[in-house]
Amino acid sequence: MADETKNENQPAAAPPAQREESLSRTQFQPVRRSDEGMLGPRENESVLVRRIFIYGFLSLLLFGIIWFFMEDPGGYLSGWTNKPVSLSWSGLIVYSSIVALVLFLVILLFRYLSLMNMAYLNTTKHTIEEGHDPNFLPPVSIIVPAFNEGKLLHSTVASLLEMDYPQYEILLVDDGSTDDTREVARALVGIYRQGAVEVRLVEKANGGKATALNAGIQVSRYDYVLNVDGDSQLSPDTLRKTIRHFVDPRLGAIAGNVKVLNRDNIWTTLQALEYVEGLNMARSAQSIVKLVNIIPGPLGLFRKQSIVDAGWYSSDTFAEDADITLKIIRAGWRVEYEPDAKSYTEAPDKIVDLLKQRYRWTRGIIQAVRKHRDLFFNPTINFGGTIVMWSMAFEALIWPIMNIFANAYFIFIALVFDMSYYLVYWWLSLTILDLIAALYCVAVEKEEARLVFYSLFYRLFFILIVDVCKTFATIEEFLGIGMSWGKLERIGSGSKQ
Amino acid sequence: MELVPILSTIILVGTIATFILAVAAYILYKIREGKARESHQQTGYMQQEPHVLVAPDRGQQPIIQQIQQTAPAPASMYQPAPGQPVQRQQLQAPQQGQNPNSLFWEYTDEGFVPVNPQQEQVQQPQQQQQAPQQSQQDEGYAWL
Repeated sequence: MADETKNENQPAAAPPAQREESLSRTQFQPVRRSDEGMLGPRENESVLVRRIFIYGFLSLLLFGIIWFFMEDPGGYLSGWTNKPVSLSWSGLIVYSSIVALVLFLVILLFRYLSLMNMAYLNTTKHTIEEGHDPNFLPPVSIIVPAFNEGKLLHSTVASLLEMDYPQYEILLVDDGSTDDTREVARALVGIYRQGAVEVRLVEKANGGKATALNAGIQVSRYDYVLNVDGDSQLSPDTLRKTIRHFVDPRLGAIAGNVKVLNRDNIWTTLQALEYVEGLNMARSAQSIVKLVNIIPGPLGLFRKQSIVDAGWYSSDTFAEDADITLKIIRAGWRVEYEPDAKSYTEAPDKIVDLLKQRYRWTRGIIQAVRKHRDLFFNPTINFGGTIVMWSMAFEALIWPIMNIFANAYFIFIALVFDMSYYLVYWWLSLTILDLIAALYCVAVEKEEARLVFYSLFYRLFFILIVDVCKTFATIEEFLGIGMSWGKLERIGSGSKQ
Repeated sequence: MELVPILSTIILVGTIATFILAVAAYILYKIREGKARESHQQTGYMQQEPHVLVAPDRGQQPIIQQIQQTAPAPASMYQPAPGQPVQRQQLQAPQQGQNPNSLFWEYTDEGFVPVNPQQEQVQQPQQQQQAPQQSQQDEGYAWL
């Protein structure tokens, strides 16, 4: 009996002829997104080039002034101050190094400590919070957009069918895949768990993830939609843990806890640490003020009304998850984070694939920030939105450039002025901060202890590489250089297990 | 020897090497990206092209598919994070969730059988939601 039950819960392929007879087909028109009003005018390329020239000229002018007074050829400074000029190259370098080191460390310390404190408060709140209504279990539509996910789609649906939840439907959306995704998805269409779960499929021409999500949401039956990636695997209690928050009628969406599935080399292990320390800790901190700034693609549960209010997903950025989150926040909805709702995703295991992913993320986030730039200086639109925009701009734009600049500066003074100990102090300070953050996050998330050891290489090695990519991506985005989606090569580690 | 000079040399060399690696990897990525873009023609997206919804026929009896052994069992495919035990709850069909240790019993044709009160609570809203679901389906997607 137990075996039969298990069979009903698992997807399988029926003979094609029999399946074709038992499937119904309905044509429908795609929904039109309605957020065009949020788009500002695109900046002309010539304006950008002119701006670069002006800023470059001003920088050179400033450098020239410093150079002039440094040498003090006519004794002007001495004449003004009646004192001998004490400004020398080595003095300037030493003082500016100390100022840079202290300034960067103060900003960093502030960032880390505020994030950790807020994350701690959120974790405490989450731990002591009274149990939610156990009867609040509304049916949920799970949307799985897939483009060339033939290798992993079966295991993704299998993990979704194992979900401990009374009633839900799974909507697979094949976004014009060129591999066997459509055939795999068709074989999965059916009714499972004695009518409690229905799997349907939307077949459409290739149009990007945003259009695939819109198509799925458009035909979804229920008021709550769970968006997952075609390569993600969810823990069985994800829906129960997440849906309980929606008792709050002001809540628009919940971000899930994304973890790296394939931790088999240094790149993926460092990404596992980054997901825990860099992404989840930040989301946990943002959740205390109900302003999580990115609902990750692998796991996000939405109230359907919030997506409709936000004007649906749009394809004008490469980070549709960041864009929809900003739109939901500016529409006045709250966004929270649920650490117990876990999704395991396959991380890129090669450096080039990692850079491809980060390049797309960075440009996508900058595009989303630029799209909603009116929020920057106008808190009357949405005060929370303004806070989110500044925090996103700092994390996506300022912080990577600051890190690159600091490293380059300390290398320069080490090579030219033989002051290499500043680099040691810089690395040591950051590594101690990372070590503390890693210890905290590993303890809170009950993660693998070995991740703490990797925090020693995290700052010097991993973050530097990622930040170089982010900086280039930022420059290219502001120069308006074209880009493509950049589909990652999947090895199907989830289905190999 | 002092620790700071040794550390500073290691970190200096490490940082410079990482910088070089990062820039080289980025250049490699851009070269590959450029080649990929040349070889792949972008598929034109026709905004108004209708999508097709494939669904099991609800008019018939629910299709209970039999597993084929060619596909690996989902239970073994699901992989928690290494070293991280994830609680896997065994899924049960709602009708079969009778707990032998339950304090609640119900009289049926087969005599008294144990009943899990929590399961009943779960089943109740599910049955209530079944009716609107059917009516929504009959109306198509008119709510949009």
